[in-house]
Amino acid sequence: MAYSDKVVDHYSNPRNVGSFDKNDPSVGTGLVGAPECGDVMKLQIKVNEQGIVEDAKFKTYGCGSAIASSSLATEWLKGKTLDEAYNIKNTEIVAELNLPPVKIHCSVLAEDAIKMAIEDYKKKKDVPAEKEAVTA
Amino acid sequence: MINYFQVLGIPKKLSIDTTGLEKIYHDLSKKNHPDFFLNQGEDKYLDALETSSQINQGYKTLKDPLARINYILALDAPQLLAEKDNSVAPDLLMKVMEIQETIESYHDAEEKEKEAIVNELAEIKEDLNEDVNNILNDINEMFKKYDEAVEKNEDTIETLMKMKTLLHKRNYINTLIHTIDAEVFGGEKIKH
Repeated sequence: MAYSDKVVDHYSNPRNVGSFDKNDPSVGTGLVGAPECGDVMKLQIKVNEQGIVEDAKFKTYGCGSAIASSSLATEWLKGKTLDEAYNIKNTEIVAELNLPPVKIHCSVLAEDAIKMAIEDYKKKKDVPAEKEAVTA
Repeated sequence: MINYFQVLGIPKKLSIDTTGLEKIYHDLSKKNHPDFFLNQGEDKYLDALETSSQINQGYKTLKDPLARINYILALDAPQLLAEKDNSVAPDLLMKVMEIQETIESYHDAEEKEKEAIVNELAEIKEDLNEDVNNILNDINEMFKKYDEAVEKNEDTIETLMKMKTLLHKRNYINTLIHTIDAEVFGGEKIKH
């Protein structure tokens, strides 16, 4: 399969590979998989007190398009508010990377991972507050 | 539209005698070969082309158990295929991630550490192979359940859903086994 230049660029020089401590309250983790091919993708965001995504990291074990989609996603996430981040669409990733139809599911995976990471972060934020309310 | 089971003239079941199917395929292919219809007008020739292509596609799909399951899913429950799948447990994804990280650590490891990692991965691979065997057994059970339900005119959706989950689990584990083989034991790389 011929990959676009942008996919090759992200694939051979992936941005923001790595992990944050998933127990850190300022970190949200999204872990998703593609059951058709067995690819897995972990995407994490680090959110500051203003609710801005300060940093993002990913680890993807899968094809070039899946790696490129998540690498691009981490680049886009940095500096965004959580709402802006939640609105990143897989179609934007498809357009930016020129993904062929058979690889669209890779961009869906990245979008799912972003949403899951944001939800995980929000859940972590809410839980301690609720606990306080119960004991008060 | 007629389905592949009708094209090949066999009952719509998950358990199929593949030797019998092969014979049916050869017989039908011979009978419908487009060359026999060359002199019978364009319509008949085109029909024969279409029929032959259906027979080929049908045979290709039904002889493979996994393709067969997906085909039955598409026939019986297209909404299930379209649905996003969240049935694979998060702990399986976590396990996949961890094993992938172990495989990756092999590359970065120093020579003296490699042996320990290879041993660990060999053990992991053995466990994974056992998992796959268990899953295949479970899928076989589902085959029987599905066929029985169809015979009794019972609802099959739950069985199909379980089957889909099992197949997905199998895909994750197969990918891991292939990756371990390719990265550590010198097997062929998977192409995406």
